[in-house]
Amino acid sequence: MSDPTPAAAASRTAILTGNQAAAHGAFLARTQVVSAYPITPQTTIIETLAELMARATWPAKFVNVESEHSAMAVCIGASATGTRAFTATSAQGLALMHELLHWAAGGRLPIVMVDVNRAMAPGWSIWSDQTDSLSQRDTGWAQLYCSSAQDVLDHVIMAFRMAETLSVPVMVVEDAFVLSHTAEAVSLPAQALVDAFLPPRDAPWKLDTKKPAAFGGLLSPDWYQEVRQDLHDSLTRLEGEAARCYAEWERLTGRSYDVVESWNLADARTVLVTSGTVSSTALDVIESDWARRERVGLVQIRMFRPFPAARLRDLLAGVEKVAVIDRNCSFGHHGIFFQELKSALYGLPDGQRPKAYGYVLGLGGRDIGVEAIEDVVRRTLARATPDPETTWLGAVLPAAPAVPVPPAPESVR
Amino acid sequence: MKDVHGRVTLETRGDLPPTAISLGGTAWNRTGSWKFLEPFYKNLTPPCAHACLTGLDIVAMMSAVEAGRWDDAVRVVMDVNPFPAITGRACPHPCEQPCNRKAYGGGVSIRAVERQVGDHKLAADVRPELPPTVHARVHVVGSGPAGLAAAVALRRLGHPVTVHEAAPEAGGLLRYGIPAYRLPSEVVRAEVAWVQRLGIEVRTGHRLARREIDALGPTLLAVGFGRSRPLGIPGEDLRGVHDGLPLLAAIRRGEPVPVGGTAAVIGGGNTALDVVRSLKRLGTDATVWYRRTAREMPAFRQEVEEAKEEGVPFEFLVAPVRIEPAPGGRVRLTLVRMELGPKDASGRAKPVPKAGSEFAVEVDAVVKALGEVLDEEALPAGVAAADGKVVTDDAWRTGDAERFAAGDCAGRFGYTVSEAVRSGRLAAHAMHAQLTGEAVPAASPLADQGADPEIAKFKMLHLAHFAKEGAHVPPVAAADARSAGFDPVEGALGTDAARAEAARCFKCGTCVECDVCYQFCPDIAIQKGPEGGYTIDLAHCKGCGVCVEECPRAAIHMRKSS
Repeated sequence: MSDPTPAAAASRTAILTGNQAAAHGAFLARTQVVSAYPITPQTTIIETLAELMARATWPAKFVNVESEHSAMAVCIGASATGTRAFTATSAQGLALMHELLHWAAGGRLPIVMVDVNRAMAPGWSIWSDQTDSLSQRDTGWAQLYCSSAQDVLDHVIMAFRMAETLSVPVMVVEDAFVLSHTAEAVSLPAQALVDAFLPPRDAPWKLDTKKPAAFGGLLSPDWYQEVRQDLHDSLTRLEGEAARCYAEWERLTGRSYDVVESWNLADARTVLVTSGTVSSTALDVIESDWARRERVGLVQIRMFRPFPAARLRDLLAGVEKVAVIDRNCSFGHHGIFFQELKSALYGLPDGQRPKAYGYVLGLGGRDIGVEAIEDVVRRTLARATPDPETTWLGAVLPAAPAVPVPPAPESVR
Repeated sequence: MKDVHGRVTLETRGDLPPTAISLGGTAWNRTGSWKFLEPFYKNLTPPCAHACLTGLDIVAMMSAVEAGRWDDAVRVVMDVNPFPAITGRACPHPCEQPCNRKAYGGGVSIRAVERQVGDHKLAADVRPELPPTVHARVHVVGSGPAGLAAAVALRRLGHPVTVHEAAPEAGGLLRYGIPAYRLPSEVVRAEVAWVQRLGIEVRTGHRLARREIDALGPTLLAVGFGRSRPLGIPGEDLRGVHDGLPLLAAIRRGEPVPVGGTAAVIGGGNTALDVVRSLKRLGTDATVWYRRTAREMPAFRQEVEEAKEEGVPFEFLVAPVRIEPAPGGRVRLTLVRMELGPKDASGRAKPVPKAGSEFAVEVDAVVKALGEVLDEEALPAGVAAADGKVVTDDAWRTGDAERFAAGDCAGRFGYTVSEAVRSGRLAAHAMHAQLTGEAVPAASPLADQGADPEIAKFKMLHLAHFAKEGAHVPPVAAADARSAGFDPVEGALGTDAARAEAARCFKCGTCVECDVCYQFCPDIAIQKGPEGGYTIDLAHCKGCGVCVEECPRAAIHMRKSS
C-alpha cells in the first residue's frame, strides 16, 4: 500500500453491510437521480440510500416506481438529460429490466446499478447465485464482481467514473446475504476525496430542450452495425480505464484493486479460479500447507465484462490445470465463468494452454465453505484429464440408483 | 459531414454519433407529397346555438365563463341579447334539449350559466361601448323584451331613443306578465335602470293616444298582444270570470285579487300555468281545465312539471260549454268531455265533444287563459293588421314608412321572451338601415365566424378528452316551500359552479385552441399562428388524420388533397 493522501486521512471507518456500503458509495458519488423498486436482498440498499438522499445538498431526486422496468426507465430518462443516475436490484427484478438494459447500453448512458446476486425463480429462492447477472451478459453493460463491503463501496464510486468516461453503463455485483447483509469495517472516504476523483458529470450529448434532437430513433442497416461496434470498442476500452481508475484510487486511498486478482501464481501448477465472496474463502484454502505443497494458486475474476481474456492468458500461460468454481450455470452447457475462461485460454499456444476443470456448486445459496473448495482442488489434482461434462458438486442427498442410458442411434454416432 | 438545410450527409464513420441521435432535421423531407387527404379547420354549428332563440354563440359564452372572463362573457351575450339576467330566468332554454353532453354525464345547464352572466352584467354594470348619438331621435312604443332590446340596439347604432310605456313601470310582460317566482321584479327594474344608463329615455305611466303616436317621428311598435282571447261561450263576461293577463298584472302590482277559495283556469298555455301557480300561491284552490291532453299543452314543459310538483290538479280533454251565476256570488261552469279526433291545422289532434258527457262545477272564479291576441284598435293610423298581427314587410316596416313593428305584435317568431329580444334587435337594425341608408347587419355570431351550418353531433366528439362528470344544476326550492309564496323557484348556480359547468361544455364543433391537434401531429405540421389559431404546413402534413381523430370537438375535418 502506498501512503494515504491527506484527504484519505479525513476518511472514517464505519461498520457497514455490503448493501449499506453500496448506498454510501452512490451517495458519495453525488448521485442525482435514484429510482428503484424493492426486492430482497437488494432492498436495504435503496432504504439506506433513500435516507441519505434526503440529506443531499445537491439537486437530487429519489423516484418511487411500480416496477424495476420503470426504475430503469427513470434512470435512462434521467441519465439522458445528463444527470448521474443509480439503481439497484436482484434476480427477477433484474430480469424484468432486461429490455431496458439494452436501451441503457445502446443509448450509451453511464448508469450505475448494483445487482445483489440472487437465484432465479422458480423455485422461489432469495439466496445467492450468479445466474441473474450473468444472464445479462450480452446487454452491453460492464460487470464487476465484488468480494467485500469495501470492494462494493469503492467500486460504486469508481464505476461512475468508468461509465462516464466511456459512456457505457456499469453493473456492480455482490453476493446475496454473504456480502449484502454481512457487516464489516469499511473505510468511508471523505467527500472531498471522492469529489476530487469523480468530477460532476459532463455529458458529451444530452436530452436538452434548448437543443432539441431525436434520441433512439430508426437506425438503418447502413449505420446500425458501426454504432454497435462503437459500443463494443468502448466497452472493451473499459478494462484499460479501470486500470487508470484503480491507480488513481490507490493514490488517493491506499487501496489497490485489479480487474483480475491473483495469489501464489509464481510457481503454481494448478490454479483455482473464482469470483465474488468465494474468493476470500478460497484464499484460506490455498494458504493452507497442503495447498502450498501442491503449488495451488488463486485467480479472482473481478471484471466479467469486458472479459479480461489477455490478462488471464498472461497469468495462466504454462500452468498445468485450472479449476473454475461457478455459482451459476448456462444450462445445457457449462458454468459461465468456466466457458468464458476456456474461450480465453484457447488463444494460448499448445503446451502453454492449461487443462480446464469446471465445477458448478453453491447454486441457490448453498454455502461454499472451505471443505467444498478443498474438494474442488483435490478432485482437480486427482484427475489427469477433465470430465467432458460439467461437474456438479455439493449435493446434500445421495445420488439415485443409476438408470441405464439407451445407446444413441447409429446415425447420431 | 455535410449539412444542407438540415439534411445531413455522413462522410466518414467518424461522423456517426455513438448512439441513435438526430444530427440534422427532417424539414427538407417534404412529406406532404405523400397525402391524398388533408385536414382543414372548420367550425360546425353546435346544437345548442342552432336551437338558441336569440342566436347566441353559446360556446363563446361558455369559453369566457370557463376562463373566468365574466365581462367578456357579458359582451358575447350582449351583442345578441342585452338581457341575459332575464332570459337566464325566463327562457324555455331549447338550447339544452339537444345538448350533446346529455349522453355523457348530463346536459349542460346553459340557462343557469347565462343567468350567472346576466347577474354579473348587472352587478358589475357592464355596458357596451356607445357611439355618439348622431342620428334623429327614434321612439319605441312598448317596453317589453322586444321594445327594450330594440331600444338598446338603436342606441348602439347611434340613435337617441325614447321608450313609451303605458304601465307605471317599464318591462311590459316581463314586469306584469311573468310571475315573480320566475322573474323577480327587482331583476326587471335593474335591467330597465341599466337601459336608462345607456342614455335611453324611458317614459312610463301614460298610454299614448293614437294622435300622440301620429305626432312622433320614426317609431317602432312593440306593443305585444294586449287583448285576451275570448272563450266564445255564454256567460264569459259574468262577474267572477277573469282574463288571465290582467289578473297576472294585478298580482304583479300587488293588488288584492278577487278570486276566492276555488278557481277554474281554462287553457293549457303559459298564461294558464302562470295563473294557476300564482293563484295557488295566493291560497286559491285552482284547477287547470284543458281540452286536449298533456302532450298537446303549449306551455313550457318545465312549467308543467313544476306545477305538478306543487300539487296543481290538471283535468284534460274537457272544454267549457257555458258559465252561469251560482248562489253566494259563485259561478257554475259547465264542461263537456272531449276525445281526440283527426289532426287539425296546427298538426295537433283536434278534440271533439263526447255527446252526453256534460257536467258542471261550482267555483268562486273562472279564469280565461287561452292566450292573448293583438289589440288592433290600439294601432295607429297607417298600420294595418292581418291574421292577428301587424302587417310588416321584409324590412320590418308597416304600411307607414316611419312605423316599424317588432315583438309578438309583428308575429315573426314564436312568442317567447327570447324571440321577442331577437325580433327587437333585428327590427332595430332594419329600421336603422331604412332611416339612415347605412346598412349595419345585425350580428349573427356563428355565421359571422364562418361556421358551417352542419350541426356537430355526439358521435363526432372524442370522448377520451372529457370526464364523464355530472351536471352542476341550480338549487330549486322544494315544492311545498315555494308554492307558499312568490320567492324564486330556481336559485343561482354561483360563479364557481357556473365556471365548472362551462368547463363541462364540450364546445361542440368549435376550435377553442386546446392544442390537442398541435400536440398530437406526428409531423409538427400544425403550427400556432402569432394571433392564435393554427395553420397546417401542407408541405409536411402527410394526411395521417391523427389531428382529426384526436380533436375533442370536431373542429378539424378531412378533405381530398388539393
